[in-house]
Amino acid sequence: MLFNSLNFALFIPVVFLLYWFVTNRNLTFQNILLLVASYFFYACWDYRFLFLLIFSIFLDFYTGHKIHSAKRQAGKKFWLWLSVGVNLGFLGVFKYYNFFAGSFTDLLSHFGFRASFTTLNIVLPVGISFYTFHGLSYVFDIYRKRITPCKSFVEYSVFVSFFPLLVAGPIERATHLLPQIQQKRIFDYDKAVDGLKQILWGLFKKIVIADNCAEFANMIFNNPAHYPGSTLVLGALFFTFQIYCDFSGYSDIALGVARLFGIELLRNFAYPYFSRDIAEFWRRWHISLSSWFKDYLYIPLGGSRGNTWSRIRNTFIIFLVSGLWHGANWTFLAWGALNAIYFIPLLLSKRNRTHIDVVAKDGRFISIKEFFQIIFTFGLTAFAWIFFRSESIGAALNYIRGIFSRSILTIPTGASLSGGSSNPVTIIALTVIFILMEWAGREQLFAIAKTGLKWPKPLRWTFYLTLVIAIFYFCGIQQQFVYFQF
Amino acid sequence: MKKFIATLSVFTVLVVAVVYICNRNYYPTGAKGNDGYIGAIVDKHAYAAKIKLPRILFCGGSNVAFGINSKRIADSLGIPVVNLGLLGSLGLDFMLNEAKAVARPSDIVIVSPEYELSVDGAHTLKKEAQRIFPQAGTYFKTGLEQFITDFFIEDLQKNFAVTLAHLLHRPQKGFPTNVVYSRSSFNQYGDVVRNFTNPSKDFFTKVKLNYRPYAGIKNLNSFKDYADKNHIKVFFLYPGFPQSLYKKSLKPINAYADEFDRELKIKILIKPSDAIFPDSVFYDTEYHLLPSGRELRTDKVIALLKKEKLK
Repeated sequence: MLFNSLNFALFIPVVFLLYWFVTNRNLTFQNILLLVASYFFYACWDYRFLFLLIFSIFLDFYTGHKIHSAKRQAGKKFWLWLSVGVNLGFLGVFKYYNFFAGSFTDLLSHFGFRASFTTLNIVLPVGISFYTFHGLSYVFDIYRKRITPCKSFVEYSVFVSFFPLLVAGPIERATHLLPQIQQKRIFDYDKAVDGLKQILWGLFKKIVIADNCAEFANMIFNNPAHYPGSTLVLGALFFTFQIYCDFSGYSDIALGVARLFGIELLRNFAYPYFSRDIAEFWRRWHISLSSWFKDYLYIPLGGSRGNTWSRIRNTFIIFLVSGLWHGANWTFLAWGALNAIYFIPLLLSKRNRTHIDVVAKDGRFISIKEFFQIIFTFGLTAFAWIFFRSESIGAALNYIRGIFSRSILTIPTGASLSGGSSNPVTIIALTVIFILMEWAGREQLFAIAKTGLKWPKPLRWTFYLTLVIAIFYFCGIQQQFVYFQF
Repeated sequence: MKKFIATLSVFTVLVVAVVYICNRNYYPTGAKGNDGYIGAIVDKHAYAAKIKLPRILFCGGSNVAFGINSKRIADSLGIPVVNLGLLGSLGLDFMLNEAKAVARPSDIVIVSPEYELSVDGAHTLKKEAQRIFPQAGTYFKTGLEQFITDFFIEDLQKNFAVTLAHLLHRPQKGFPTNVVYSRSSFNQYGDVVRNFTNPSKDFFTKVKLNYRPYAGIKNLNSFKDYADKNHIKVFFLYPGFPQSLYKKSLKPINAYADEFDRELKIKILIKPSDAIFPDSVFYDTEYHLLPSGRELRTDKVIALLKKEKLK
């Protein structure tokens, strides 16, 4: 059930009405409703994997209690590693088995050995990377005594499988979400309206910008040899906006839907393309994953303490693991490595925390220096996305080779570039409008959070109506959310 | 909560109203929009309505539109012929319902679907046929999901653009009328007769036929039951197919033939192997015959139908 589907548009009002009108007097009933709705939502993808999800929930719930009740440290460690081992084992089998088996075979054949590992025809369970990380953060936090185990299985299950975040995050923390699930929720008009606005903005990003950019990005990335360098640059830019609007659009919808149910989820994006350096970009992109890796991997490894070598090592580890988290392909590792290379000079020169605040805060005008910093960072990011989007390292290198040819100085063309259902000029114009709206709203939780609040109501409603009509009008070929494959 | 639901309801009504207004299509494309290939549906039905019974109705996709000389068949058999064949993408269900709507007792229907022909077809094309020929709306069903998608997205996208073009004084481009895929390419019987130039043979390298159990058999058998009840004769005819592709696709074609032999209630007039023609007589797809190919196929059809006691 996609967020941008009719089924979801019917599913949400039903759950909303039952939640606030039927089960509102009893917290347990409300949580049971959320759990049933979440399982139903997940079963719509593939009911067989529901059992894997439930098993994972049960495992972490049980081991969480065992870690807490174990008298000796060795016992605590045993239960922690059992949970980590089983969780990562599932992730390894479903997501990485074929990649590692294939890569190992290639490596052996490179040295003249013949080996054959059976590759498995494995279907990746939707959301496995996300719910596995939810569960792991819970057991880690119990082990570190940050939280005590949740007493109610229903509450814990809702924490892991709450449907807005189940398939593509944000990756929640027990310290943040569990207390909200354990507390009685009271309907808040302003919060609900804000939620709707965030859903609207998320849909706009996904349907109007991401899906239309995807059409051209796919066209160009699938046949890079057919296009001049300038068109390949355009293709990389289309993908840069596709990936951002797709994933941040999803996150906006997830956050908005959760708000309708009185629950606040972690913010996942904070205008990353307005970052002035890569360190700032990584504080603003997929925040819930970056902070997860920081808390549970980077800091335990020593973080930015220690000597230069260990800082470089830790940085590389976290970026490579982050790349691998996205998928079992060398291209994701290359993308992670490239970002590590971008990041290390800032870390070593201790300039990785220079830009903490939002750029041009309090509505001040952007300086020329800041403008060029943003353009430079954006360029680095767009370049790295080429690896992320390409099918293989070779394809990415060919794409880059195609860009840095004489044809980069030509006007972007390509016979089939005009073959899509939308006009590329229209999509570029819409993207520019989108960037301006994001810029105007860069100090808000999401770009249109406060847009028009001081306008007369008819004007404000006209603005929302325009967004709705734009969503319908520019609705092209429905594309799956990119992050569902992770 | 009440305030929230009330506000949301008002907003939803407003959205529906705005979309409804946009969809009213204040500046309908009118006749200008009917010159395209699908526009021929109007002429085919008009011709079918004015000729006397019994008639031979050819039903199928573009293999029929491009593949027979209706006049020669009519002259040879002494029975008027209507070629209802238009476009495979309309789907088998649409075609059979169209044939049901046209056929009368004593008529003869010859069904000639393409291999792998979809039962449902493409909704957009069916809607286009309905726009040009409103009765076509009864040849297919629109589910709730499709209805909502049509209302909020498909219709809005079409009508909004038309309305906007008129407001901006930019008249929409009409369909070109001097190309093969236009309404003017059909003769009065419903055959595509325009002179074809520069046939492209690119498709020979791209075609790959696959066998999948044919979902349309149920529809074909149900059509046969309907025809029997209404004293309509029905026959099944394989589409014409290029020789080289036939050799390449022998396995799936034989699988289809076995399935039809086993399960189809309609009498099959010809074997797939008897419906192959030289590659040189095909135009731009494996089903579109050039005029020379059309005559070859027509010879075969006449010979086959003469064996049947049609009168």
